[in-house]
Amino acid sequence: MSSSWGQGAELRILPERLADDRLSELQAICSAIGASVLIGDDAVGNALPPRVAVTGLGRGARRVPQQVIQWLDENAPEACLLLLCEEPLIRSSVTRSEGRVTLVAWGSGRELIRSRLRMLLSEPPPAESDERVQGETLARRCWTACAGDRRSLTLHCDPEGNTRLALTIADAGATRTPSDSRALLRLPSSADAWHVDWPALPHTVWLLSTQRLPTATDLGAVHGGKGSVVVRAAPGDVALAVTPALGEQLARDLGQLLESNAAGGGPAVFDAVTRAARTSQASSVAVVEVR
Amino acid sequence: MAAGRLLVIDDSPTVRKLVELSFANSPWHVEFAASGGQALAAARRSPPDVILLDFVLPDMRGIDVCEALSKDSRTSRIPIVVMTGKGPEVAHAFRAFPAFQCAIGKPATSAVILEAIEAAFVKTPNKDLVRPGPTLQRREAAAKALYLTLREALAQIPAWMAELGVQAPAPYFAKKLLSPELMGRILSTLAPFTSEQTSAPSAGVATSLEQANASFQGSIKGWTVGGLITFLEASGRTGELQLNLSGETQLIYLRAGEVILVSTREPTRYLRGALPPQARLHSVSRELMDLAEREQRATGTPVFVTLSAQGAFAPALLTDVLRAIGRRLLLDVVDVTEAKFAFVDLPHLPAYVEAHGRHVSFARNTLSFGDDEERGPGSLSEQQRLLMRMREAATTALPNADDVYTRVPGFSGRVQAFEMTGAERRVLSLVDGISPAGQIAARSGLPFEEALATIARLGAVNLIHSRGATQAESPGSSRPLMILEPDADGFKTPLASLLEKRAVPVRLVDLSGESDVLAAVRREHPRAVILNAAIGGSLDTAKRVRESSELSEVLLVALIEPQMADRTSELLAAGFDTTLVKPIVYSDIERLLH
Repeated sequence: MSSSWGQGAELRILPERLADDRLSELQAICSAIGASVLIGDDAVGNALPPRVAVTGLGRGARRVPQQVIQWLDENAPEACLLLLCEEPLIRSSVTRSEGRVTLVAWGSGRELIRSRLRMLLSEPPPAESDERVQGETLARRCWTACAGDRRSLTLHCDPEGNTRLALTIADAGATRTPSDSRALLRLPSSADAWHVDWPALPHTVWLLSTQRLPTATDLGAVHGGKGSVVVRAAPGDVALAVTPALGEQLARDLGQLLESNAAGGGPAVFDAVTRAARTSQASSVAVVEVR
Repeated sequence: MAAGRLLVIDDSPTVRKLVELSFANSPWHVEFAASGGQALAAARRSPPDVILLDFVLPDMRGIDVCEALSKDSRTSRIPIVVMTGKGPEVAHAFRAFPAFQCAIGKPATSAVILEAIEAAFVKTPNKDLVRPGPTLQRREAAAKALYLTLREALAQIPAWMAELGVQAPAPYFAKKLLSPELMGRILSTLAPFTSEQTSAPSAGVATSLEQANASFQGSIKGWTVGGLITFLEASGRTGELQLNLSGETQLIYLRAGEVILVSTREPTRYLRGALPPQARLHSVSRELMDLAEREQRATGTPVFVTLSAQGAFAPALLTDVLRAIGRRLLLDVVDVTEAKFAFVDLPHLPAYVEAHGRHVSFARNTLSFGDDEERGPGSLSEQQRLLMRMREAATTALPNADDVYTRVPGFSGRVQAFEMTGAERRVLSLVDGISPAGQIAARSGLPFEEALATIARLGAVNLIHSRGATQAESPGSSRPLMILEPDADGFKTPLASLLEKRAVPVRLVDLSGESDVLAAVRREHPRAVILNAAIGGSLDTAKRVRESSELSEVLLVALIEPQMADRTSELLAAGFDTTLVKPIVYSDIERLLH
């Protein structure tokens, strides 16, 4: 982490509403994700504006402080804002204003704050129509991540904000275009429904959220074989797809693994499953989180 | 100086005032929007000549507004001037949009604003296209046709004068002019112009029209379903009004201009919400219910009519049940401002409509107690007092857009007493104790001031109040939530934990160990009882709770395993108020608590 005053950085901490111990904690989290950080509310000037600004939200406050809005308007009009509040939240992370403002409670833990920062620093999806998404991307309504053999499991985002997780027929190889591949999971731009399809290929699809009861659901076990299924989507939902089917051991332990990482959101789940998949036969892991 | 319509999109009252003053002595007509959502709705409803856009808005960024405008053929050519504290250097972000004209600094002087707006208006190469020619032609043609129809009627006034005698002129001429015949002719005159605006009516509507050689069809945009029904009532027509609302078809039957029955082709929607007690079906077999649902989907015949014909529902109850549910369906749609419709003149209404149809009334502000039964808590004087306050609210000032409203303690019990329009329900559903009134108004999809007036009305009848006036719920006063669900680790424990985190924690009482569930429910008098429908005896428990008059305020919720999602209609008909399918979202539980 480069922490300094007066240089351009991708992350700006506005310290006025952050106590010293919170500021130190935040610096440590930023360091862990390797983000370049600037602290202070001085003007950006000729430097590149930050992509994310972070500040605190006073106890009882319900609106973004006017000075913060003004600072963003004048210095980084495209930046996302992460607000950290001291009060406990039932929903540990809340996103508003078309994805620009994210509210997280300190009490939700460092892992969640780390995960939100990583999410906000992700690249936007490609502007080209229906292009395949690589790595981690952040759209207005969802965050996506994909790892492993990208020929078998691919993520696509179109300019309207629709997200599609496709399962390419293995025999066809990599020459197939996205439209040929079988959609396994679709999240429309409104992010209000998961459309799940069930091709006759080995795969694993789970839906999890700390706001769901139960927290993690194996959609394959519940809906497999029913053709297309629509499940209402809600902010905080994380959909996970792994293909081909997981090894027996991991398949058995996956529910517990997901439940223990659900509080960290999509990035934490993605990391945990990617790590576990290395020891399994799984070749591709994809995660979509609704913001 | 040019003259046109200017839409100013800015949430700052200061800036809005500045612009208002800047154009006070100009021929420009200036309109305002405080948020991106409100602005997009206003621009699509009636495209202005120029837009003055703030760079940062409460709900979205200026550039997103610009993008949304550019993607809509109705608004893509409206010239846009951007106002920003960053000044002209943000212009590069907008250059991708052909409608973007220039960026001006903020704060700007009146002269700068005027100059930029005038320049934008003049420089627009195809400004005639802002108001599409065909639309204007249609409006002109409609106006001419209406004029000719009315001229004929008005020409009779001298003759009527001779008949007038000693009668009061206003009621006399109103009766003469607003005759069912004339209203029918006006509708028929305007129908072709309305239907021109209709893009591809739904297959169901088109089929019915062909079958019945029917009358007219069209779209409602910018006026309400209530207005359409009022118009049809005045025309004295008999027939079937089909409304297509986001893919769902609602059927409204009129006899001589009187709405007498309302139905829908979707049985789940028909049965959703608070059903009158006599409408609860406890012992109908699954096969019979399936048959009734199929019939409703195919013809719109309510399930109760089919069940009655099969001997599974008392015919004596039909009229009241159809009327009560019809009124709820009608209230759901009277405020809808976008729908497709078709009216079919019918010489004979369906037999069940003729037999059981009774006047179904609706009024715009129906935030009042039901007219023919005492349903709410409290005495008659309490009801009168609330009604008085509601009427007073119509004349009181609108709430401040920054006021945050929350639901009153005991809301769930109180709300049962009110019949509300769809718009009132929509606004009420957005009151979350966090969002300011202005934001709720913007999200409601209603005209801004109308939404604020609705908030005022809801406050006046003591369903919501501003946080400043909040008497916080005390933990002791909170009624628990009761649950009968076998999954402890995956469901009950995390639910209890989430309920504990609330600002006002709610107890979760487990019914698993109770030998007498009904007695436990009577003892705790909970806000809601959640019963897993897969547990044997759940339906019976629901039935017993429903039959217990002192538990009428308790919400009954069926928890459904995902494999059983198709049982929704059956469970609603059995007396459950609502259903939740696993994995549920916690916000659904919050809704139950409100």
